[in-house]
Amino acid sequence: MSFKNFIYYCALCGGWAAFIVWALQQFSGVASKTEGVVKGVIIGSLLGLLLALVVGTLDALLNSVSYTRFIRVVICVAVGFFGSMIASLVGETLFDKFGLLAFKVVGWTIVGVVIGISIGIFDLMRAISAREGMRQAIRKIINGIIGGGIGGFIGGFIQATFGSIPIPWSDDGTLKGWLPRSSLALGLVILGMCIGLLIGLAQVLLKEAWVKVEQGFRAGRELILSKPDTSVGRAESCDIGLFGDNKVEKMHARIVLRGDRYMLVDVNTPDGTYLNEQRISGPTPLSSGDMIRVGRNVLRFEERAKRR
Amino acid sequence: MPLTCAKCQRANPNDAAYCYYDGISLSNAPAGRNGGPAPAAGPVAIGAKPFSSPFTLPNGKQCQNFDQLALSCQENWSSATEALKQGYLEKFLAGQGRADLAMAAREAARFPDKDRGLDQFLAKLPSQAVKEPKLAVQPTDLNFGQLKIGENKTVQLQMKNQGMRLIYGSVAVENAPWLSLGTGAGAQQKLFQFGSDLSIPVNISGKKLRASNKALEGRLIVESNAGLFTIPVKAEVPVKPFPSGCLAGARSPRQVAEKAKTNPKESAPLFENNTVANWYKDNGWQYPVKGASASGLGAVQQFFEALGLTPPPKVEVDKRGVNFKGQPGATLRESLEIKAQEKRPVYAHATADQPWLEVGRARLNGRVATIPLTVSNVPARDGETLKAKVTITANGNQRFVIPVTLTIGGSFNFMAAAPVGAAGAAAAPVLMQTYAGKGARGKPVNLLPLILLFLCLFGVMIWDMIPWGSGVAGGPPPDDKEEQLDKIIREEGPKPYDNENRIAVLFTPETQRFGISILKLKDPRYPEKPKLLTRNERGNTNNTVVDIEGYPYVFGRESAGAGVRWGKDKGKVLKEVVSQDKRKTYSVMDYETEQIRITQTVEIVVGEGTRLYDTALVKYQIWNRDKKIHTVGIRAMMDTYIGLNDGAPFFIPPTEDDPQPKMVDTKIELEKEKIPQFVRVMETNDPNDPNATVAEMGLKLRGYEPINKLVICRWPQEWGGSEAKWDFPYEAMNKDADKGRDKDSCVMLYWSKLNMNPGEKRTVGYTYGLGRIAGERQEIVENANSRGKIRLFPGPAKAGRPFVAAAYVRNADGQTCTIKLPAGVVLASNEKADKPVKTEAGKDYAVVTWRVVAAKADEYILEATLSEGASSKARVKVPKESIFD
Repeated sequence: MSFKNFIYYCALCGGWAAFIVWALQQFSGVASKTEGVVKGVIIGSLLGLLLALVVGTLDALLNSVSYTRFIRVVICVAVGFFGSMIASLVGETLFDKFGLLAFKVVGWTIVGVVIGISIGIFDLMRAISAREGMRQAIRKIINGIIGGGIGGFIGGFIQATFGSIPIPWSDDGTLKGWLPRSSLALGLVILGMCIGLLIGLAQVLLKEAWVKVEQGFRAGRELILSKPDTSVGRAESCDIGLFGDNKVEKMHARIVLRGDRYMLVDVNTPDGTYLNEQRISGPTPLSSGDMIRVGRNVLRFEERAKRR
Repeated sequence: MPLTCAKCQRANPNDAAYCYYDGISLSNAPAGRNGGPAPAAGPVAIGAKPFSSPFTLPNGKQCQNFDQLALSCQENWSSATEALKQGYLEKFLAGQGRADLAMAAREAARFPDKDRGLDQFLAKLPSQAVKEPKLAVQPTDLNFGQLKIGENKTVQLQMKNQGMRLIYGSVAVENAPWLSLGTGAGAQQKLFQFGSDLSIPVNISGKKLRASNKALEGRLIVESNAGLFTIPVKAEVPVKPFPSGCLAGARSPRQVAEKAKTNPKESAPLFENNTVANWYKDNGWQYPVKGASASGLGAVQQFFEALGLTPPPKVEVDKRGVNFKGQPGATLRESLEIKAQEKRPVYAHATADQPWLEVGRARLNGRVATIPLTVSNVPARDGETLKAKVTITANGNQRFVIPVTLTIGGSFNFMAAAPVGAAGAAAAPVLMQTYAGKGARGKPVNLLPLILLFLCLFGVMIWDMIPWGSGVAGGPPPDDKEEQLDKIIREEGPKPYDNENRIAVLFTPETQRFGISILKLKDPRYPEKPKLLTRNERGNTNNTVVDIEGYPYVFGRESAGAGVRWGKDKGKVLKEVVSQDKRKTYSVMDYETEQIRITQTVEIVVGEGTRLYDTALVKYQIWNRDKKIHTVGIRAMMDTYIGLNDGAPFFIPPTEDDPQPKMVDTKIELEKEKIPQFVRVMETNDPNDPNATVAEMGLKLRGYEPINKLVICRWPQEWGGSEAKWDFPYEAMNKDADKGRDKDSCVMLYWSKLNMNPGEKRTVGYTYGLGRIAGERQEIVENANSRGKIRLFPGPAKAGRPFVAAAYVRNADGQTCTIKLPAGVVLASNEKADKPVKTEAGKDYAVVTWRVVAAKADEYILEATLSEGASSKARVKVPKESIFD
């Protein structure tokens, strides 16, 4: 999946998740039988759950392989659901007590932050358990906080401020009122899209290093290097899977972070790993724009310019 | 068994003690001859053994033995080489019985270099007289000190042979491209060969010096047959700091980049006017930007890209190739455009590999760089097609090769319009990037789910809009009954004659009690004010009581301790919330302990009898939001008042259960089925008073919960007045009137105390408005014949449902009053057209009523006639739908 597609689908799935939340609350009786804090918490929790589900799934498709995708999504959903429940409880309770719309916006902002955090929790847990460097995982969480927070704030503000669709004027010039169902539906969809969009955008814009498959298996896909050691090969467990090429070994090469530099390491393969068409013999430093050839696959390594 | 010499490997007789050839002790020989001890070690002085005949060099020097021969060759080198070359030595040695040395002389004579040949020969002579060569080098290290870029310097490397024979080998420069050896252009490596000494110039090439904050270091490696020497070389070339502008003081490209990043706009001219490039040159560094400098901030970006600090944008060329056609001597022009998809400046330069094709300097313009191609003079080779290649180098050294053909005779055209870029590498022009990245753009986004989402939202909106008026501005969600009533009011009910309000509803801000006044009529006492329909214009004397679990609460009275508060929505207190058209106002009270919400809505609607906005529709929605069942009842008290009359008799029309109409000026209690469709009050006792106002209270709203009890009585001044609770002893409105006390009426409407399930809603309501407004267009049809005795008023009507026509008759007791019905209107069952007139004791007039039915919705004129001839006509518009049951 390219980053452009990732951002688009984050926003789209966020919108759909929010619409499903609206439909659930509308047809399950939440809309008519509950009010105030309870209703707000139910909607907030559901939204957190579904948004975390879709954003987590997209992140897993982009950054994970095989069974770890499932674990990643489950962790995402758990964090998203419970975090959003607490966030919306805080926001709705404060709003109920003080009557200030700003508290609702605060609640949605925290929901966005929680969902943003949820997609980095798996990486953090893995880094801790593997005793690897946590820098990239923390970076991912920070990106999630930035994206989710901004998305939640913007979406929450729009939802709270402009969340009413007026009914058109009648023949005699009288206003018929507001559209209660579609106002909520539209507000939630805007909120969901904002959170999804901004989380995706933050992950992409603030990424440190990434790899784009220029040629070969699923050319065009882009992968953020979110681990200190990224494996390349045709094994299912490889972070960058290059299938269908018998010149690619199961575990062919690794991109490892040493200090501030990414290094390309060939795992003693008979056909070798090539960096800018030069076969590498040991750990070789990577620079932005470098082309890595593994079998018939060509990957472009990119790195965000660092402050020097 | 022959003995082999350990040194020369030659065979010697088995009883030899020393090598015949070189005199070396044959130490590995067996014990002494005949089993005796081994001979003493040490060579036999073969070199001193005289020749059988002396050897004479071409210069006349005579040699008696090998030692003399060796020394003579060393000292008379050229003569010796001559003797060797001419084969004299070979013959002489063969004659001496030394075939081995003769062979050595022959091989040496064949050696391409005669000096090296002689040297090899000398090495093989069995003589200790000629020593091995020994090399000495001076200096042993070289330090050139501080140098400037462009400053040349030369020192001599002295080599001396401290031994004999010949020294040969090489001197090489290592890790110092700025060093060279020898004279002239110099070289990085130099071969040498000398007998006694040699001087080799070591040069510093000033052009090749590179300024650095560290000393420049290199080595000279001397390899020879006489040994290996390493001579370290050092020089210092200090960096010139950047001289001017915002980059002043920078001592390295990195510092320049940092300063440029901080001040991009200020630094741009320094890149643009080549100040930075010149600074690079002054320091001996290679400027990383190739080709022409971009302009503005693009020049800074160009520098950053060249340093690899910023990834270059992907660029593409607009043409796959160019075909020129032209006549000999003609001038042809075309251009190539290099574009970037990203919004970043593009720069490029190009070269052509054929002299007939000129490539101009690129014109840089933001995201586009244009390179002009010119064939200034088409060669005179008519009929031929010439080929060339233009190599374009753009941002980040992205290179493209564009084929150009020149067909002599014709006009040019392009090979294809498709641009050359990362995705088009397989096409004719060769993209010289290592990887073309074909198809590497990823899958296109699928817009279908997004469109579906918008369609779903649109669908919700349509669904929301179908039941028009289902929502109130920010108000509570309506239930089905309210929606039904709203639909009748707005769509199916009678249409108003005009859009002007005839009544005003004013609220007491604190309690949300409301009063009704008649806008077009003046209050008799205060002409500047409108005429009142309630005792107080803001309804201070009305009240509504909510009974929850046996505890009565006055609606509108907040009580923090009891948890009674105004409702809130999105932070806004739901109190006197007015709709956009100003006709609808609602207020919400929350009884938090029991989680009961009461919403009072007052809306000015069209009176079905008058077709004017002259009626207030009052609704109360009760919502049990708790998880428990609660018993809730509600009672509304309206302090009725018309103009100045607070004791006008109420007309109670007949019902099916009670066909007898009533005029009430004392008190009455009616329950359930006995409650009429409406009650009416006439302001004055004169039916023909043109200013008399008729007020009507509608009691049976369609689909709404019926009123459980109707009480018309005296306003409870002694029982709490405006704060009167649920119930109190009802008194006659004219109590003590005979004692001069004012009459004071009120209407009490009770809705039962019922158990409400969790989430259940109840909606109750009534209307209060005008049954007649003097002077309005629909008022009098023809009343000239009333003679002040009779006035006919129809009640709220609906097609197919009985409605009441009431004639107010004065001074006509004993007469018969007959109703005349138009076609389409008939008497209800058991009704008679003729009815006797009988005024009740103490009343000023009698009311004669008929229950009639109009089959269709239409406008009808009814007429009531007294037997003496006086008559009254009334217009009735029978609607298809009515808000009343």
